[in-house]
Amino acid sequence: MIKKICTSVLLLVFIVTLSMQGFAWNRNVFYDESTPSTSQFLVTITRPEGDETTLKRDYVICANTDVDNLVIAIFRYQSQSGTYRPINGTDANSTWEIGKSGIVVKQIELPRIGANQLRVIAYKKSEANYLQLNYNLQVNNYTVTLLDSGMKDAIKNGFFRLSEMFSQLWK
Amino acid sequence: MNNDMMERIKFIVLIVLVITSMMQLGILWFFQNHEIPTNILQAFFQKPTTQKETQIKNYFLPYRIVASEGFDEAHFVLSPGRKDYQVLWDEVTSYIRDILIEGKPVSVVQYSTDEWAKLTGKESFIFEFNAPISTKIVRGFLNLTAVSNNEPLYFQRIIILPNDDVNNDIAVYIYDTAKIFKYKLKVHSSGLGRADYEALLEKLKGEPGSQKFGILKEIFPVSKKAPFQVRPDVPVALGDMRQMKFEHIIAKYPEFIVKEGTNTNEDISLGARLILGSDKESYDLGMDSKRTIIFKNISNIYRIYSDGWLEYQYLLAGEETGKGDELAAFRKALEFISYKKNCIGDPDIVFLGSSSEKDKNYYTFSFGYSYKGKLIQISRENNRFSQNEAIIIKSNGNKTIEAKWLMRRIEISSKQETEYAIAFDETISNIFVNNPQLEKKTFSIEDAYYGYNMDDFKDNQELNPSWIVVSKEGKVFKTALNKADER
Repeated sequence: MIKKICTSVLLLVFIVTLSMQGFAWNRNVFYDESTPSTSQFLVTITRPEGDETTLKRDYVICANTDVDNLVIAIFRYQSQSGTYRPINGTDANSTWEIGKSGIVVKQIELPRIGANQLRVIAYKKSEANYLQLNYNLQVNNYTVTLLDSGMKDAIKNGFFRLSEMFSQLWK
Repeated sequence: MNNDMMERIKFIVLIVLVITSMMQLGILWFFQNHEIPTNILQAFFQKPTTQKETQIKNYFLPYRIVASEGFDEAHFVLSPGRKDYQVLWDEVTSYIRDILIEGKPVSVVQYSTDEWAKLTGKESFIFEFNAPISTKIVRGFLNLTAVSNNEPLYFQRIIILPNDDVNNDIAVYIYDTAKIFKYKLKVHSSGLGRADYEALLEKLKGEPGSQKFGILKEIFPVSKKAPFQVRPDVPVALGDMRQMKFEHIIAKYPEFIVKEGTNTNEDISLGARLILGSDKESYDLGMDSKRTIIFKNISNIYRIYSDGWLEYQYLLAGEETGKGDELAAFRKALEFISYKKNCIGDPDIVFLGSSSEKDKNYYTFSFGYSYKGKLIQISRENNRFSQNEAIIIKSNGNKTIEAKWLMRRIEISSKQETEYAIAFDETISNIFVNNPQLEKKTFSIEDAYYGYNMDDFKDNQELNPSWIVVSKEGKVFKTALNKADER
C-alpha cells in the first residue's frame, strides 16, 4: 500500500516538474544562444531573406502575416554576455504588435561592422505566458554582415575607373 | 456766298458721315455691345483682348521624379516646383524629342514586374505620369510632326540610367503600358553628364531635412513572399522617415455661386462675366428653383449648381461627325479649361489621362487639382456626378462638347504646417482598417503617393492629408494621415 502511494506521489511530482520545466524554458528561449530557428509558421519574414551582407548601418526588418494578435521582437547576440538581448528600433521600441494589415517594417541600427547575429521572434500575444517553440512561438536567426562604407566607395571608384578606361579604348 | 454756304454744308455733312461711320465701326467692333457707343475710341486705345494662348506644355509634367541611388540606398522624391525637378525634366524632354524624331530602340521587351525591378534597382532617375499619355499628344506637347517607326504608343514612365553604359551614352527606358523600350542616346553637350547626376544625388543626400524614401522591393525583395502584388519601385516611407509636413488647405466655392440670402442677380452677372467673358451678351441668363445658374443660347448650355459643379453641353453635339484628331481634341479641352479657370483663382490643374471609345464622336480627357505637387483626390461618393476626377471634358477635333467640372478655389488656411505620421506599416494598416472587406490576395499596390483627399463637398472644406494607393485594376484606396503628435 505504502509503495503504491509513494509511486503515485512520485509520478505526480514527475509530471508536475516536467510542466514546470516547460514554463521555465519560455523566456530563456529568447536569450539562449543555442535556440534553433523554427519554420516561419506565424510570420513570413521577407527581410532578411537569409544571411545578408549590407553596406548600410540602418537595416530594415520586414515581415507579414495573416495571423491575428501577434507580437514581434528583434534581438541581437551580444558576445560579452553570450546571450541575445532585445534591440530597439528607430521608434525606441523593441517589441511591436502587428497591425491589421499584417505587415511589419522596423528599422534597427546595426551596431558593429562585421557579422551581426540577429534573432526575430514572433508569438501570440494572448499566449505570452505559455510559449512553446514551433507551437505558438517562432524564432528565426540570421547573420547580417555590415561592410565598411569604404568598401562601397572602392567598388564605385573601381567601376568608374573601369568605365573611363573602356571609353578611352573606344574613342 | 451760296457757294460758301454749300461748301460749309458739304463739309459738315462730311464730318457727320465720318463720325457716324466711326460709330458704326465701333458698334460692329463690339458686335452685340448695346452700350452707347461713345466708348468706340476705347477700341483703339485699350489693350487688345487676345485669346489665351493655351499653354499645352504646362500639362506635360511628370507628377513625380524619383532620384534613386539604387536598391537599399536612398531614394528622393522630387515634386514640381523644385529647381532640380525642372532641370531634370528639361533634360529628359530633350531626350524624348531625340527619340521621337529619329530614335531607334536598342531593344523592346514585354513589361514584367521583374524586368522593371531590375532597372529600378540601379542608380536611376524615374519620371512618372499620373496616367499614360499617348505619343500623339506628347508630339503635340513638343511641337513635333514626324512619326518614327517602332515608337512607344504611350509614355507612362521614363527611366534614365546614367551608369548603364560604359561609354558616355545615356540609357533611356520608356514604359508604354505594355512594353519597355530601351534607347541609347549621346549625352547632349550642354546636358547633364554622369558626374552631374552623381552630384545631384550627393546634393539631395546632404540637404537639411532631406527625406529618404524606401521602395517596396526593399520590403518584399522576393515577390512570391509578398502578401499582395506590388510594383517594386513605388516609394514608401521606411525607417527613419516617419513624418512629413503638410500645409492646411481649404477648398472654397467660386464667388459667383448663388448663396441663400444674397443678391442672386449680382451672382448671376458675375458668373456670366467670369464664365462666358465677352460672349455673355449672346446668352440668356437665369436661375432655377434650386439656385442653379443657367446660361443658354441656341448651341450651348452651362449649368452652375449650388454645390460648385459646372456642367457644360454643346446642344448640337448630335450633328458632329467623327472625333477628329486626338491632339486637336486635347487642345480644345485645354482651351475650355484655360478660359474658365481664372474664375477660381488659377489653381494648379494636372492632366490625369485620356480615353476614347470606338463608336463615340469624342475623346474624354480627365484633369485634377494639385497643390504644390500634391494631388487632390476626389471621392466618388457624395459627389454629384460620381466621378473620381475634378474635371472631365469630352471634345473632338472641332470643339468641346461636354464638360463636368468641380469648381473650387484652393487656398491655404491660416493654420501652421503640421507633421503627419507617414510610416508605411502604419498607413498600410489603416488602409485595411478602413476597408474591412479588403483581402490581401486581391489587393495590389501599383502606385502610392501622399496628397489630399476631398470627400466632402461643402464650402470652405478643409482637405485631409492622405496616403493614396492605386491598385493594378485602377481602384483607389485612401487613408487620412494621423497627426504625428496624436499617435
